[in-house]
Amino acid sequence: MTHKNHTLTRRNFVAAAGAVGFMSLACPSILRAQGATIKVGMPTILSGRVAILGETASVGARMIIDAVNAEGGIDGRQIELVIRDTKGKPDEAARITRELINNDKCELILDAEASGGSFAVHEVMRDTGLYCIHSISEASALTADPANHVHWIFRSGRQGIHDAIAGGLYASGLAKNGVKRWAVCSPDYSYGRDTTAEFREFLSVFAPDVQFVGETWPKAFQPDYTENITNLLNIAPEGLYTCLWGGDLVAFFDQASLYGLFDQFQTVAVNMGDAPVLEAIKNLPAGIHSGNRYHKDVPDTQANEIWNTAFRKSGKLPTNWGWQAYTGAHFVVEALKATKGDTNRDKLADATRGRKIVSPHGVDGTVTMREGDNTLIGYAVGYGKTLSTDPHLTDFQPTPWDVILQHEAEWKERKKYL
Amino acid sequence: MLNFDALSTCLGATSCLVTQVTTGLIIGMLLFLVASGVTLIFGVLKVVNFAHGAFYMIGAYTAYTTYAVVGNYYLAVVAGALSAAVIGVLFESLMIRRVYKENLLMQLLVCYAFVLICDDLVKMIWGAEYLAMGIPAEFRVPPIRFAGGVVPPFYIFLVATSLLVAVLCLLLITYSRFGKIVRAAAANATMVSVLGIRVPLYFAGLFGLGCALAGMAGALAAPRAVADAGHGLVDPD
Repeated sequence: MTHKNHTLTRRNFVAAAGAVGFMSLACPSILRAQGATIKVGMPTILSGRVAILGETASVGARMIIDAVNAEGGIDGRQIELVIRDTKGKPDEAARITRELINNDKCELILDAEASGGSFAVHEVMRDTGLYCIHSISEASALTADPANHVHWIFRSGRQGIHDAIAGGLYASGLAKNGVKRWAVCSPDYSYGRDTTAEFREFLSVFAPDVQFVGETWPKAFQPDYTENITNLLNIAPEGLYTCLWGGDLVAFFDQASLYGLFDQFQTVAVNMGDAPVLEAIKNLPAGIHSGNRYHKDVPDTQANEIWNTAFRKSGKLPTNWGWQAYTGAHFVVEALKATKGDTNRDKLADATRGRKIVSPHGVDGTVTMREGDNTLIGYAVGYGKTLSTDPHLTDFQPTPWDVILQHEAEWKERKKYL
Repeated sequence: MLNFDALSTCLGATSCLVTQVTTGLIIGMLLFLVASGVTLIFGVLKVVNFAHGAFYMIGAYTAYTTYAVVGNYYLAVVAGALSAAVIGVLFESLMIRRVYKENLLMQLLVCYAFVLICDDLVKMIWGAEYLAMGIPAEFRVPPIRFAGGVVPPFYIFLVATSLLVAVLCLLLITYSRFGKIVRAAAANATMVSVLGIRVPLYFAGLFGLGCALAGMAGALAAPRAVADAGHGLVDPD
């Protein structure tokens, strides 16, 4: 009996390696078709009092990515969403984002960080040069300030200035009815300070005769608001503006209700209109003025109703963060479809810039990634009043986008952003 | 530059004084409830219970669930205190007892591990999102106005309960048989055990009592705060 000698000779090894190398270079689509996934990194907050942010943002992003994967993926490649907890700390957000890129080999980033962390992620993405969409941060400067502009980085979340214009316009209606003396109670960090300043600016634009007579700034995750509440009682304003959010807003409202605070003046709470907040406050006062955030009836369309039902199947209530991350993932998917799965940042950026997509959250059924500042426009913005029972938000007054865009342009001129 | 304008304005207005004094009392009494547990354990057992915040969290979460199921706030407070006491006794018997004689760093390590375990267990059982109990129905009433100041009835209840607990603790430790034995054991455990008293049992009981106070504070404060995993590390109020 004879045996063939199967020992790998150096000549055979070199030939085989050369063939593999040639095939990889000549036919990359063969490798892709063999199942290499496109990894999308998602740094977000999954622990602490605002874990709801990351939990619902994850649900939103997964909704669209799972749907695309179920249809066969992008050009035969599945999309893998790699989600990591940053604990809401900017330094951790930067570290985790670098890990997602270097260790997990993510080819693009869907950032789902709050404002502080998003600036840290922004710098990492500027440095690494990979495509990125910020899906949560509302700090206007992130994309409005030319100093932060990077042509391959986008924002699918609300921009604070849009809400400020809508809020200022809405509150000016209250001012016309005699609410002239205002106080603010907002979180003492970048988002709270910036958003409040923008609201003040636009309320003064639309109602020049209002006065701001006091302010109080609770810290992030502050357990006790008694000091802020007694401050407000002493100031005795006619109107209160707050951009507290999530668990902080719920705790503030529960504690302030004990003092009958909301019986004493009109309150504009821009972040009240999210389902988990509305349903978490057990004795929700009626008549609080709130931005829509995410609401099942805003816009009042069948597409939004279907989206709301689909989201709730996850066991979570839909949030503002949920639709924003969904929209971000939607842009990622559309860009990947346009490039046939190519993750080159310039190709993806070209495919995203100026793109209009069909969206259940758009005023006219679409939203657009505006050219120039890579920012989302066309989503539903407006204010309504709370009800203590379902649907929790009523008398919704949408703000027309032509009004928002006009005042935003003037604001950019004032800030020398143009 | 020192600026006493706000202080002098407040001192000149009875309404401000009333509101500020009651506010101080409320925060002080809640802090007292938490601190009394730590002090009790440290004073007698000479262990700094760094995991005390975890028991505060356990009390808040148990109260939340009990209130959601039964709808009775007083029962929820009792459940919060009891759950913290039971877990406290287990923690003392299984872990802390082994590090009584160890240095402070070892005790810190054991407590920190316990806090992390508790946080993860809470996430597994209740989820990572915040939970709000809301103000109990019986306290959803307009605040009492006194001399121009505003005092919520719920806070009067909190202050009264905390004072009652303070008096009961004092009586228990000073005059009861239990109190006398643990104080004697703290001074000389060997001598007390020679008298036929099971000292470890009393130490576990005392540790459980300290934890019950933390759990009770968490349960009492639950309606005015939101509960979230990690509460034990960053809170209490």
